[in-house]
Amino acid sequence: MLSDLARDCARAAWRRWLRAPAVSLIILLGFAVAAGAMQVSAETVRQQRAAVARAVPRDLQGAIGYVRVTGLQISGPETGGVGGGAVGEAQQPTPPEFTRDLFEQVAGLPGVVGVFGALDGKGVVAGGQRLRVRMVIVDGVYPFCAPADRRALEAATGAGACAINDKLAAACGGAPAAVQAFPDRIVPVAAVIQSTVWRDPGPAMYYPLSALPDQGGLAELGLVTAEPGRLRGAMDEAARLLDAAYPAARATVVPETEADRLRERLFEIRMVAAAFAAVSLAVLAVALANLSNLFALILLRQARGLAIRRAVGAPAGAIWAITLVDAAGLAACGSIAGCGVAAFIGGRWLALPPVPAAASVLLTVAVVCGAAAAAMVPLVRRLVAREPGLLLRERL
Amino acid sequence: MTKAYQSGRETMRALDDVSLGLADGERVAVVGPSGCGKSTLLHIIGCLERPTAGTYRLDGVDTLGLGDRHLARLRREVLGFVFQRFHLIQELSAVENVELPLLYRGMAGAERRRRAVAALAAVGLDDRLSDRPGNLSGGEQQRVAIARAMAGQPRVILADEPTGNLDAASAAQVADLLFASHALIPGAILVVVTHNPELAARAGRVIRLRDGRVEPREGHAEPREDRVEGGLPC
Repeated sequence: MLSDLARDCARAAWRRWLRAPAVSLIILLGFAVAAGAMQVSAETVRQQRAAVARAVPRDLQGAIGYVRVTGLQISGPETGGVGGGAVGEAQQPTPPEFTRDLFEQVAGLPGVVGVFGALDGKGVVAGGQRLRVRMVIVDGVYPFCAPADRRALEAATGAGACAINDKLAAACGGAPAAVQAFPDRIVPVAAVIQSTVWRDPGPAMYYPLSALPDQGGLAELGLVTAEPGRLRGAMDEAARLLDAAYPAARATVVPETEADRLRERLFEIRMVAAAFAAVSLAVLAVALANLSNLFALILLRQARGLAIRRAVGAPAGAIWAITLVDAAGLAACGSIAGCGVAAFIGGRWLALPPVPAAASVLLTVAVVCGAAAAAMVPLVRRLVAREPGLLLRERL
Repeated sequence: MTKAYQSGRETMRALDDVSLGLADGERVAVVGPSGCGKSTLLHIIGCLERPTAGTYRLDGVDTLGLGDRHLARLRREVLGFVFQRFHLIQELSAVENVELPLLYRGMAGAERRRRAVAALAAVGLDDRLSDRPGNLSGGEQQRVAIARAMAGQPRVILADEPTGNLDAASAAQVADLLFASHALIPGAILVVVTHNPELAARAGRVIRLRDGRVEPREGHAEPREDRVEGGLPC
C-alpha cells in the first residue's frame, strides 16, 4: 500500500513537472539563485579558512607550537626598496648576523622543525605585481633562490631546506619550487607563494625576506617548534644576547597555540566572510520569499488534481505526501542544477577553485529542501482545510 | 439541512431547509434552474461539503460529527462521483485514473488493475487504457469517469450534470452507460443532477429545487414523504 502510494506520488511529480521542460527550467533557475548565493557564501568562508590553515603544512599542524616574537626591531644597514625593483634586485640583507644568531639559538633546540614566518595578506609590489606574501625561513639558511638552480639551494642549505620549502609550497597551493642562488650575498630565504585566496593574483615566486622590513612586514615572526616552552626560554636568551649585540633589537616572546594563531588570523577573514554571508543571506531571503510564491503557484497548478483526489477518497496524508514530494523533488533538482550553475559561474568568472561537490550539493539540497518544506507546509495546510467540493467548484 | 456561503458581508443560502431521504436502489434526478443549489446538494450527499446547519445521516451515521479522515473513507468506499467536467487527473492514464479510488482503499496492485480494466471494458474503453485524458474525447473522458465511479462498487453514485459538456450522441451514450452501470450494482442509489429532461425522465424520482428549496411536487406518480426506512436517509 505504502509503496503504491509512493509510486503514485513520484509518478504524479514526474509527469506534472519534470516532463514540462519550460516550466521546470524556469523553476530550476529560480532555485539556482538561492543555491548559488548559498554556495558562494559557504565556499568563500571555507576557502578563506583553508587558505589560512594551509599556511602551515598539514603534517606539521598539531605537532608544533608557536612562539610569537613581537616588537622586533632591527638595527643595521638600510634595506633596499621593494616597490620598483625586479624580484631579487631589491634585497639588501638584514644584518645576517642578527638572523643567524637568532636562528642559531632556535636551531640548537631539539624538536625545532623549522622556522616559519608568515605574513599573510601583506601587500608587496614586486616586478610591477602586487602580491600577497608568505615568508618561509628555513633553519637559518639564507641564500635567496629562484627557479634556475635548485641544486644551489640544496648545496647551501641541505636537502632539508628544499624539502621543507617544497612542503610549504605544496601546502600553500602547489607553487613550483623556485631556486636561484646569489653566491655573493647572504640573504634570508623567503617565499612568496601564490595565494589561492579568492581573487588573489600573482605568480608563484620567491622573494627575499630582507625586503620585507621595509614594508613593516617583520614586526611579527612566528617560530615553529615542537617544544614552545623550551623555545620561549631560548628566545628569552636570544633576546638577551641579541640585545647585547644589537642594542636596538627588541623582542617580546609570547607562546601561543595554533588555535590562538588561527583565531587571530581568521578574524579579518571572518569579517569579510560575514559581510559576504550577509549579502548572501539577503539574496537567500529574497529567494526564499520567492520560493513561497513559487510554491503557491505550484500548488495552484496542483489544486485541481488534489481536489479530485480528495473527492475520490484520498486521505489528507496522501495530499501532504504528494505536495511535499513535489516540493522536495523540485527543490532537490533545482538545488543540484543551481549548484552546477553556481560552480560554473564561480569557476569561470569568479575564479573560485573547484569545490568538494558532494558536500556542497548535499548542504545546498538539505537547506533548500528544508526551506521548501517550510514554505509549502502552510500552503498545504490551507489547501487541506478547504472542503474538496469548494475546491472543485473553483474552476481550477 | 441548510448550506450557506459567505460572500463578503452577504450570506447566500444555497440550500434552505431541505429535507429528503433516498432509498436503496433508487434512481433520483435533481433538476432546477442554475444556481438553485443542485450541485451543493450533491456535494453534501457526497461528503464533499458539509451543511451549515441541519443533519446529514449516511447509513444512520451523522456525517457532521465525522472528521476528515472518516469523510474521506466514506468517499472512497461508499460514494462514487461523475462530474460534469469529468475531473480526471491529467497526469494519469485512463486506467490509472480508474484505479485511484481503489488505491486509496488499499487494494493490492494486481486486483486494482484487474478491476480498473474491467470497469473500463464495461464502458467500452478497454482499448484506451494507457491514454491520458488529453487524448480522449469528451465522451470518452466521461466514460472513464463513470468507470472510476463504478470500479469501487459504490452504494451511492452521484453524477453532476454528466452530459452537460457532451454532444447529443455522446450524451445519450453516457446516459445509457450511467444507468446501465447503476443497474449492475444491486441496491445502489443513483443521484443525477441534470438540466437534461430526457435524462431526468429516466430517473424513477425527480427532485425539483428552486432557490435552495425542494419544490413540493416531485416527479413521482404520487408525492411522498422524503424519509425512507432502511435506505440512506439524508
